[in-house]
Amino acid sequence: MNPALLSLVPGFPLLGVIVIALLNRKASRVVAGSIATAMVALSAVLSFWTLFTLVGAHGELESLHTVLYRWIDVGGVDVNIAFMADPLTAVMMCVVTGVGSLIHLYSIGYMDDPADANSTWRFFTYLNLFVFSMLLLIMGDNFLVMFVGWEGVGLCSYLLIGFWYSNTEFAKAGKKAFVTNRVGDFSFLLGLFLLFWSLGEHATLQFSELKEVLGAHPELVGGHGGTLVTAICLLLFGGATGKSAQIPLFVWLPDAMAGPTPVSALIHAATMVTSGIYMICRLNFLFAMAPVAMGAVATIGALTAFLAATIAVSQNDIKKVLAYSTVSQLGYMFLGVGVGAFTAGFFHVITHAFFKALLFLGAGAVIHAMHHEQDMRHMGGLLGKMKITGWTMIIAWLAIIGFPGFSGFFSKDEILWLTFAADPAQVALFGPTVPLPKFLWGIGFITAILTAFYMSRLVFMTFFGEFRGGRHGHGDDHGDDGNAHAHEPHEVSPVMWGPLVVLAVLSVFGGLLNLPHWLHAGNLTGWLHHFLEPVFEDAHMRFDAAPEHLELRIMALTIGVVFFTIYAAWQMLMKNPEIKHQIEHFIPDFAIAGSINKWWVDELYEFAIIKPLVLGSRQVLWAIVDALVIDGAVNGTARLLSGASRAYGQRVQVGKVQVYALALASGAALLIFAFAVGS
Amino acid sequence: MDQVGLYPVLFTSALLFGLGVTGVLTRRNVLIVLMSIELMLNGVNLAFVGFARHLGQVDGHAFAIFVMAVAAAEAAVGLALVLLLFRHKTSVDLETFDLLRG
Amino acid sequence: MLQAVIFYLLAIATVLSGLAVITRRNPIASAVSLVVTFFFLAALYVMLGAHFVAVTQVLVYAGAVMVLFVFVIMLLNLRGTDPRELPDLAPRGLVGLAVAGFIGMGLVVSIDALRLVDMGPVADDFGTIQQVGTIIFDGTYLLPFEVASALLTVAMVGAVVLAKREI
Repeated sequence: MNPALLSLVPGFPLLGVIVIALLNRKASRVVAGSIATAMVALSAVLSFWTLFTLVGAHGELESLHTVLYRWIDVGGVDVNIAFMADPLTAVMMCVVTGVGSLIHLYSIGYMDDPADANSTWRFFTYLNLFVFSMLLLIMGDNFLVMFVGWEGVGLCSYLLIGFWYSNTEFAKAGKKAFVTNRVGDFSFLLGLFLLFWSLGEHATLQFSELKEVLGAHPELVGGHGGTLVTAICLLLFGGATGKSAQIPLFVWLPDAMAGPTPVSALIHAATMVTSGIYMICRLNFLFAMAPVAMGAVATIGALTAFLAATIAVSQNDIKKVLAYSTVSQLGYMFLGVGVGAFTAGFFHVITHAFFKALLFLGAGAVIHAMHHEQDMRHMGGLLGKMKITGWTMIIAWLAIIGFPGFSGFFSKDEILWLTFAADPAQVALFGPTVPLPKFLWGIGFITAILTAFYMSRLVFMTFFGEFRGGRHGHGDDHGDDGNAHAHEPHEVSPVMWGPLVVLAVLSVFGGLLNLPHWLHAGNLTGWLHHFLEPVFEDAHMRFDAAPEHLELRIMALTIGVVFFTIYAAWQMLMKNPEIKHQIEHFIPDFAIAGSINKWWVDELYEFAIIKPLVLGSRQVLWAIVDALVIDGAVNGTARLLSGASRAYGQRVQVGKVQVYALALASGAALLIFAFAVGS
Repeated sequence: MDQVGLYPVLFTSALLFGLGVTGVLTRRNVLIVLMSIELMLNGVNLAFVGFARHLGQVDGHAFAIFVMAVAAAEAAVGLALVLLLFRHKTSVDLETFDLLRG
Repeated sequence: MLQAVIFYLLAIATVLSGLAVITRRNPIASAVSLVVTFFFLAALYVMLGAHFVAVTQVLVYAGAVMVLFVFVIMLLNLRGTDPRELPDLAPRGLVGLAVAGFIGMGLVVSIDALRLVDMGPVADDFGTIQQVGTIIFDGTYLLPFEVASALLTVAMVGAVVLAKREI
């Protein structure tokens, strides 16, 4: 494959943006959607071509690289608009464009609300713009191109969350996402500046050069475990917590569910939110130098996974459950990369993209069929009415809870096992000897149980039991339909269930990418691991060579507990609600209230950050600094000038061109004499 | 020209430029002011051509041609403005144009 | 010797006709003097080996630009300005004259300080269309040349827009 073709991968979605934006209202839903889908599909074809080129090279070709044009060339720093595709990039490209094109296709069916008929072109423009930015983020060969993509996906996220901006709540959710992300982006930029500054005369922004420079001169960033490299990594990770919704910046993601559901599937589940993990994987050689930062990444990841799971168990909005589930699963991924299991973390990115996109699209199909009803208490028994959606959702459910054989099983178990087996010295948040990995494994294990519970709860409440809709009159806004059967949920159109089926197949077989060694699957064993090895080999991560039976035992324990949780959930929710009340009796009240109220994190931020900020801005910055100091200075200057002009200026400004010419010529004469005398 | 040298050429050029400046600063007829500007530009052109001959490089000729292009553009727009002003004030006297008075 | 005589005659004629441009009351007289100045200048250019510039001078200046001037003067129907209506000099005439004199003197003094005299023989093809064309189009002055063409287009459009009563 000619490397120059790499530029076309982001080029096609950009073309889609331009074409659809130029057509704007003239493009109907189907036209705009078809263009957008076709563009992303073309990118997907090129992405798979890239992937197969790299696979076919059997490690002889390290990466494809192409320079579009020279961007900044100043003071020894040379930044190009350049794209690179190494194995990590190629896999991510395929996930983004592959899942992306399925979601684009699905959106054609989903966005059929007549009220949106005039704005679907906007929707598809933003969606293509998002894919373009995301591809810049993952394909950029230097920090600046990555950062442009990083900001671009944030912008598209904001635009799409607030897509129905006439609803103030939705518009606010978009703003919240944007501002929260800005906090993270600021941290990312600071990390970037610090890294750039510390490199001194070796300064470079290109990833491959950075790797070489750090390999040759590790002392520039303070050497292995140095304070400087720890600070850099922590700041960069701060950016990742914003983009990938981790503690403390995860609050925007649940609110981001205000956007249309395909957006939640594409941006807030499959692709954008994983860019933080991608960034850490890309910079694995840097993070490997900072064990303290790695420990922080793993700990934050584990804690986020747990916290989000505890919230998810009590939410009733189907999308909110999935949102917290996403936060939780992202926490798993950070746990994986944090303990040094980059491949495992990234493997979970891939499988999660499959099953979480499927879950969101399935939830979208349910919401679509239920006429924008999102409360699971009004659903139930939908499996009979929506067979395809129901069964694909069940597959996704089995995948996310780690049912043996499904994709999520392999990726999550690998993360948990490698967390258990990680060398404490490389996760040294509290010192190199503290057995932090074992503790984090414990959190991850409990989270796996919670995951099994809340996902079972979602599936049972939605698809099993009696249908509880209709009696709440939620269809009032569709009152002019008149017919009762208009409210009856029904299977969605093929353009929507088609992507569901494809994603379901991927959710089942995604595990084939990286089968564990104890399956003795020959060439398929750890395929992804071998493929990504050139990217991660310099990180030199160590894991205990524990006996195989321990690994199998831990896995068996997880599986057993997960099975029991599903059974318990079935009993509690479907068979015998009495048990539920009895169990609730055992749980402390504040824990239940905390879960329902999302642990008051939003309220805490409101109280600790937003209130003081608003108050300070109003009372001090506005009333004193702006109104008195700045306005005073500006108005004072104006008054001074107008007074002086009235007094003296009118004598000079006579409006005759020759007077001005005379002044000009006099100045020129003085200059000429100055030169003549000077020489 | 080896008998003459560069100085006389430059002096001629300086004189032409000075005459142009005089015209711009003293005449009231806007048309003659515009012509004086052309005179100034030609003085500059003569210096360019003289230096080109002195250095033996034709870059000065290229500059002279660009100056002519600018002069042509200036004359076209300037005369259009004169037409407009004449329609407005029925005069070509610069002293009557004082819209910019502060 | 003959060359020097011709040069000085031409130079004196140029300056005198330039003087006539700024001293005539009648714009037509000024315009004609300007044409004469341009022709003498073209002759000077030929003496300095600038053949192409000389040709352009005659074509563009004496031809196009001056026709434009004469055309506008005719259009405005100005027959020798009425002395009562329009005194010759601006009220600041003397100041203007002084400043212009200073500039001229400054230039002369600067030139005198240059100490550049030699003007040796040059190659036969110096200043030909081929040489000037090469230097403009081989890339050295290509961008300025294109910009100049854009400038002329803009000026043309601007002149039309300004001068037309109704568009």
